[in-house]
Amino acid sequence: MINKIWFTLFFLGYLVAGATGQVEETTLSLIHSMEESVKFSLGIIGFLSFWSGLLRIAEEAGVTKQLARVLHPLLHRLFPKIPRDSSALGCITLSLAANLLGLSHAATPLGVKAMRELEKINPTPGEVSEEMAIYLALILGGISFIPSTIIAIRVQAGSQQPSSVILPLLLTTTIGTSVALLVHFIIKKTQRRG
Amino acid sequence: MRLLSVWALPFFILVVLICGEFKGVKVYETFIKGAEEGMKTGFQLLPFFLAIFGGLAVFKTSGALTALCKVCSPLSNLLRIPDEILPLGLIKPLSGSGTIGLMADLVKKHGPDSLLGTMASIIAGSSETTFYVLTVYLGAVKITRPKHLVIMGLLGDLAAFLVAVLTAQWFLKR
Repeated sequence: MINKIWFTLFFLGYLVAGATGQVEETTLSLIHSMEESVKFSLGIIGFLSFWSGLLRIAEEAGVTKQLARVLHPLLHRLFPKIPRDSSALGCITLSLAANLLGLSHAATPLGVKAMRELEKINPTPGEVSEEMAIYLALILGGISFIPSTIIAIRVQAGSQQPSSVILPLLLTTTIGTSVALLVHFIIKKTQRRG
Repeated sequence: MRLLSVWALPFFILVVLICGEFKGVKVYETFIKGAEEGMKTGFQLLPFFLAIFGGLAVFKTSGALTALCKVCSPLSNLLRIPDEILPLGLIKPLSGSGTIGLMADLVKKHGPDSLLGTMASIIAGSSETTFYVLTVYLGAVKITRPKHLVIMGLLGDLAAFLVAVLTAQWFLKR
């Protein structure tokens, strides 16, 4: 899909440029964009590196595990069928904690592990289970305390308040997650009736 | 609200440092190791920026974007979404790096603290990339039929998008 979109950007772009006689300007701005890209990625490296360094300290200090302990009772309610002390629930909490902290390099492997644990207790192996759907709704919602890439880009673009989007983002992601969960429960209910 | 946002970063930094110190983590050395990894992430983003900025440069300078915005404007006007923002909502579920590239472009052009810049920032961070997550997570357990999960993810994306547009407007009024 992204391949077709990218192709279209160039194809339609130059088609229109040819029609409007803007070919030279278009090529100039393309060349300019290459330099911009390099400047931009160099610009965000500072913030991203600082943040990764800090997150590594958090990881080694066991902050992820602490957060998981706080989340555990809450998640037990969302997944009533999974035993409280099972490794499946443990994996789910750890992966969600990593997501909340924005530990992207740790979050995906933990998430994959959580999915494998869920498949082990799946009553219908090979098909999406109720627990998987709820877990994926939480992941897709993307709730995160510190959206470091977004902040890094804002810093690079010269923002006066790069972190001002943290709270609006918490609000937005919470509502997005709730809607996804709601959609799941509504679909499940109508399916059961039908 | 403003105060909370201002304190979010320093609070997090201090909590992490205090926890690390308390648990006997060698904070300086650990920081260096982690920062190295962040550097890699930055460099890894370069090809994506190249692709997106390049494609957008051609699409915009040629006048194609203006034409597309004109086609889309009845829909975006109906929902009171700025024309420039609509493409961001369309690419959001498909490509994470594409979203970041497009957001970076909007933030650069209109300024990060402007209405459009704030809106773009909130939308870009507002949910995970639905198709990527479903591919990776379901692929990990070899499930090929996603059932209602695609609709669930997309409706979640749509809700997050609309809320992001409203939040940005409300947030900047204060």
